[in-house]
Amino acid sequence: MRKYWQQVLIYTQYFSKVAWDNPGVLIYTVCLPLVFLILNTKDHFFQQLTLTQYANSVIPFIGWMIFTNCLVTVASIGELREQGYLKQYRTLVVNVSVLIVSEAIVNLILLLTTLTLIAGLSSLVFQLPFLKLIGWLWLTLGLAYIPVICYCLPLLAVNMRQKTLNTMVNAISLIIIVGSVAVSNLVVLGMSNIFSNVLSPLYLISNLFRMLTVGTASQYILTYSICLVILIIVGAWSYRHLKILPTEGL
Amino acid sequence: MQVTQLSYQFPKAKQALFTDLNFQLQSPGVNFLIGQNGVGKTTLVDIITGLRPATGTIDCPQDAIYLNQQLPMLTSIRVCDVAKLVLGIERGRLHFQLTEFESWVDAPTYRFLKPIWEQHYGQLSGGQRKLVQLLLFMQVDRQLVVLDEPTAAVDRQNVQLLFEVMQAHPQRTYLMITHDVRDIQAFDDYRVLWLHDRQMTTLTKGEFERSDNQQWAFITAFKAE
Repeated sequence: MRKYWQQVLIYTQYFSKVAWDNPGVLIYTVCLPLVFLILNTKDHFFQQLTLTQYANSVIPFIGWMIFTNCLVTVASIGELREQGYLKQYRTLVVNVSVLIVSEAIVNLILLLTTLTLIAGLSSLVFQLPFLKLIGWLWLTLGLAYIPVICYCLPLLAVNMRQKTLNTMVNAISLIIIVGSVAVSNLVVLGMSNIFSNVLSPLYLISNLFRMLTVGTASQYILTYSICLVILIIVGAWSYRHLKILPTEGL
Repeated sequence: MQVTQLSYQFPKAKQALFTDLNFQLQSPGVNFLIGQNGVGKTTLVDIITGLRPATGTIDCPQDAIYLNQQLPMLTSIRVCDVAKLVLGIERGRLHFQLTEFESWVDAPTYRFLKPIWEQHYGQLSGGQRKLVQLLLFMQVDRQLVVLDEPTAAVDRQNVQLLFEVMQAHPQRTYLMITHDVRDIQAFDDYRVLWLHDRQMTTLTKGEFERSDNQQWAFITAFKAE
């Protein structure tokens, strides 16, 4: 196990170097959500929002941001597969999960940075307590991260070319956001609805934030635990069926 | 290291790619896998390294190191970053200096990598990029080393360097796919595995050198190249 985490650490360092090597892309990745946040919530600027209003107006956007980042991270492993990287580098490490976990850690660090900036901006324009908000956002991410990554992992269990992979990422993120908005406009879904929490990471993340801030933790904790187990099973199944060989062959 | 009655069929194919292949690798030693394009050399190597499920018995170590024909790397990555990744994982070290690196690797590898240690991949030629990864992976301690056309796009002087590194680790078993007879001729002792017509023909050095008949037109053409 020590060897495994040592390899994860070395790979995390390597992927971080890759990310840092292109500061323009890094700043774009971290700051773009802020631009979207400003565009989406500018009508509420400089009004004191309650946590319920914040949870309803801003958190779905943060949920979408976390989900798409996780989806892109998982897809980047698929891109490595299509370049033949997994086929070669899997022989170097204990198992392929070293690469997945390392990529996920780098993405987690980027998301924590983005959430810190969002908390700063939110405390400024919505007059919310910065330290409490950052704590809630980080905790929400901490609780949502593993199930959301597991939700995205089936992408690696299917053979697809690099172009198809990119198309799938766009299509899935669109379907999830449009579907979630459409369903919530049609029916009122309770926080404890397991199907909506499993099928839409946007619901899961929003409900986690509500549980931590305005809801009653005891009411949602069982739903969250069931969703966590289901999504971990999905992730484990996907990992078991992980495709290592490039679709086009190298 | 032995393969017995190996058969494989692609999931949607109507016909098997191999049927009851039997062969033995010279172990330790150098083995060359040759055959026409599309005959299934890379697929066979995938099976041997455990990437494709097939029927039959494969008595080869599953922790083999594998090297692709070509591997695109980010041009912004430096040679020392790749070295720190590959040898860091092998040695369990997060950080190390060039002096330590020197004590871990064989002399030809150090000689090649030292002058380009701080260079970015983008500053290297295609052949150099390939060689960087080849030489670094060769420092990873595995019983079986599988190389898929390692000499393609590498100049003969650097090919010689690669072979020097291979010879510096004689305890290993090498399985190399090649289309270049000069690769074979560079070794004093070897075994040739010729994949053709869904079958494998194994040739010792002497048999390969003497083989020159009409039935083996591919070998004749291969040697004439």
